[in-house]
Amino acid sequence: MISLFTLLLAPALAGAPVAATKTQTFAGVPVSALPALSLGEPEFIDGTDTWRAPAPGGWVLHAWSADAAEGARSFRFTASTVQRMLPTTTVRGADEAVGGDELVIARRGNVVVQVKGDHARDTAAAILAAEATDPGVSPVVPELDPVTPRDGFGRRLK
Amino acid sequence: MLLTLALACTSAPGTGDSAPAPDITLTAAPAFDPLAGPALTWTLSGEDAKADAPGEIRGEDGEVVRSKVLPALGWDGKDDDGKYVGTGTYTLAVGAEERERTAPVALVRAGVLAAYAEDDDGVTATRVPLYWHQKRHTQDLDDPFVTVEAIDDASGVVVLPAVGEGLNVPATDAAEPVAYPYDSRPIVSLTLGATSTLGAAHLGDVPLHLSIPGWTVLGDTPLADGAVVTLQKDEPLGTTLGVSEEPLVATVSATDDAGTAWPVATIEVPWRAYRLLGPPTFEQTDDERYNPWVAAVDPALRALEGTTPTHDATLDALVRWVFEDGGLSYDTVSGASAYTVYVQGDWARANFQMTSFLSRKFGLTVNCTDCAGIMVSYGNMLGAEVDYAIIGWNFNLDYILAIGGTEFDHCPFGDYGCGFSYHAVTTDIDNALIWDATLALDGDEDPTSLPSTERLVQSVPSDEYLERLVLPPTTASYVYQAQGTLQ
Repeated sequence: MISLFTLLLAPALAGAPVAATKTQTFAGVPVSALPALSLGEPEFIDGTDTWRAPAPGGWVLHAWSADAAEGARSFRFTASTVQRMLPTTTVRGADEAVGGDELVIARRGNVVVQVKGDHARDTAAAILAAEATDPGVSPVVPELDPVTPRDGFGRRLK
Repeated sequence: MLLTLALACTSAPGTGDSAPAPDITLTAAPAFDPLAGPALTWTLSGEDAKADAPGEIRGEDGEVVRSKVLPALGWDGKDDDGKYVGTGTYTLAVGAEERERTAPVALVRAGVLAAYAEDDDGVTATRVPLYWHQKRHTQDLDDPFVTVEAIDDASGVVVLPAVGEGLNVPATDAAEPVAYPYDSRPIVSLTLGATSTLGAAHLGDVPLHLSIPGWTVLGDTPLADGAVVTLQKDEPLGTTLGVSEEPLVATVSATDDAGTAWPVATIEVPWRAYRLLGPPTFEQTDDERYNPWVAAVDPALRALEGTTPTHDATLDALVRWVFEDGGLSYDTVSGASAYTVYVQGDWARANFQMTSFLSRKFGLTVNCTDCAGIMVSYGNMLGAEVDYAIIGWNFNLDYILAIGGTEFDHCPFGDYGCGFSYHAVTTDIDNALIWDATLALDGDEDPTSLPSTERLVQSVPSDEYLERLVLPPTTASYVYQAQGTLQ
C-alpha cells in the first residue's frame, strides 16, 4: 500500500501543481516519502497526530488536524509556542504562514508544518506539496510507533 | 553444595610406652579455596617442631595427591601434575614416622551465583526501579542485579561481571545498576554457589561465615550451596546525592576449634547504586516511563555528586548543570522548541521528547519549554517534585543571559525583536520558588540596564523572578502550571 501511495504522490513530490483546495482534507505526507524530502526518521508525539523529524540544519514538526478549521486553530497555537513573535510571511502552497528563512510555520488546509533549519521556507513548501489527499482507507503500518498503532501518514488509528 | 567445611584438628600417631611423643603441634586452615583465596597454610609448633618440614597431601583413600608441599609456599590446590584437584576433604601430613602430624583440610569453592538488591518497603530501605528507555523496560525488583550466566570451562574460575557501561539498554552479561534514596540502607541478598568447573562444593563441619565490611548479615544464613545470605548496610547509602560504585567485597572465612578465623575466599560483587533524593515524584504513575531513566540519572547524579539532599538544592544543582554544562544554546532565531510539544494545543499538556533529547536527535538549540521539560523530567526522576509554569504573555525583557550565550541582552532575538511571547520555567508545587535553566537573570540592583551580574535562577522567589525578568511597563504573570508528560 505504501508503494501505491508513493506512486500516487510522485507528481506532487516532483513539484507538480497540487489540485487540492483549501477546504480539502489532507491525510499528511506518507512516512515512506520523508527520505525523498531529505527528512530523517520521524518521532511520533504521544496522544497526537503529530510527528517531528530531523531536517537539514534542524527539524520539521508536522501536525494533522481533522479539518481546515481545526488546522487553523492548530496553526495559531503552534505560532504562539515560539517565544519570538513571528511576522507573517509567504510559503508556496500555504494558506497562511509566519516566520522567516530559518524558521517557518505554514498551514495548508488541515495540516500545519513547522520547519527549523536551512532553507526552511523551501522545505515547508516541499512538504506541503507532498501532502496527500485523504485516501479514505489508510495503510496500516503499526510498526511506525511502538506505543500507538498509526497509519502510513503517522496518524493514530482509531 | 558450595562451601566445604572441615575441622581443623591435629593428630599424633600412637607412641607406645617406650618414649614420649615429640612435642609437635600442627595447625592448619580448616578450609581453603585455592581459586578465590589464599593457599592452604599451616604451622608447626612445639619444642620438637621443625618449622620448615615439608608435607604431603593425601586424598580421602590415603593416596598421595601432592608429594611435597612446603610451609613457606603452602598448598595451591594442585596435584603433582600441576592440575587443580576437586573439592573434598584432604589430609595434610607433615613429618615422618613418630614426628608425623596430620590435619584434615577441606578444599572448597566459594562463590556467588547471583545478587539481589532489596528493600523493606521503606522502613529502612526503598529500592527504586530504573527504566531502560530504549528497551521500554523497567527493572523487575525480583530479578537479580547480577548473575553468573554460565561457568566457563576454559578458565575454571568465574567472577561476577562488572556493571554495564551502557545507559540505554541493559548490557548482556553485565551487572545492572540499582537506585535507592540516599538515606536508605540497602539490603543485598547473595545466592551462594560454586563458581568453578573444578568440582562440586562439599560441606564439612567447620562453620563458614560470609561478611562484608560495613554490612550486617541478617537472620540465620547457613553457608550452603544455593543458600541465600542477606546483608544490610549498617549506615545509609550516603549523605549526599551521587553514585556509589565501589564493589561489595565479601569475605568467606572458616573458624577452627580454637576459634581462629581463617580466610577462605574473597568475592567481589559489582555495585553501582544511584543515590536519589527520593522515589520519583511524577504525578503520573500509570506508565513505566515515569521511573528514573538510567540514561538520565547516571549523568545527572555524576554531575550532582556531593549535592546536599534537599529538594531545593537538588533543583539548584540541576539548573547549574543544564545551564553551564549541558552544551545547549538558546534559539536566538525564534525561540522554538526542539523537544517539546503542547499536546492538543493545551499549555497544560507539554510533552517532552526525552528519548530524542538524550541523543540530541534534533540538535543542541533549544528554548524555554525544552529547558523546563529537562528540569521537570530530571527533577522528578531524582525525587525533587517540580512542575513547569507558563508565564504570559507578550512582554519585554530586562537584561538576561540566555543559555549558551556570552553576553547579557534584553533583545535575545537581535534584529528579529525583543521580548518573549511567553516563557516557561519550573516551579515548586506552591509556585513559591522558580528554577530556570533557560537563562540567567541580572542579579544586581538594576536589572533593566547594563552592566549585569549573572544570577542563576536557583530557588528564586516567584515574584522576584518576574520583577527581574519583565521590563516595565509590560507585565506578565504565571498562567499555567502542570507537570506534563514525557516520552
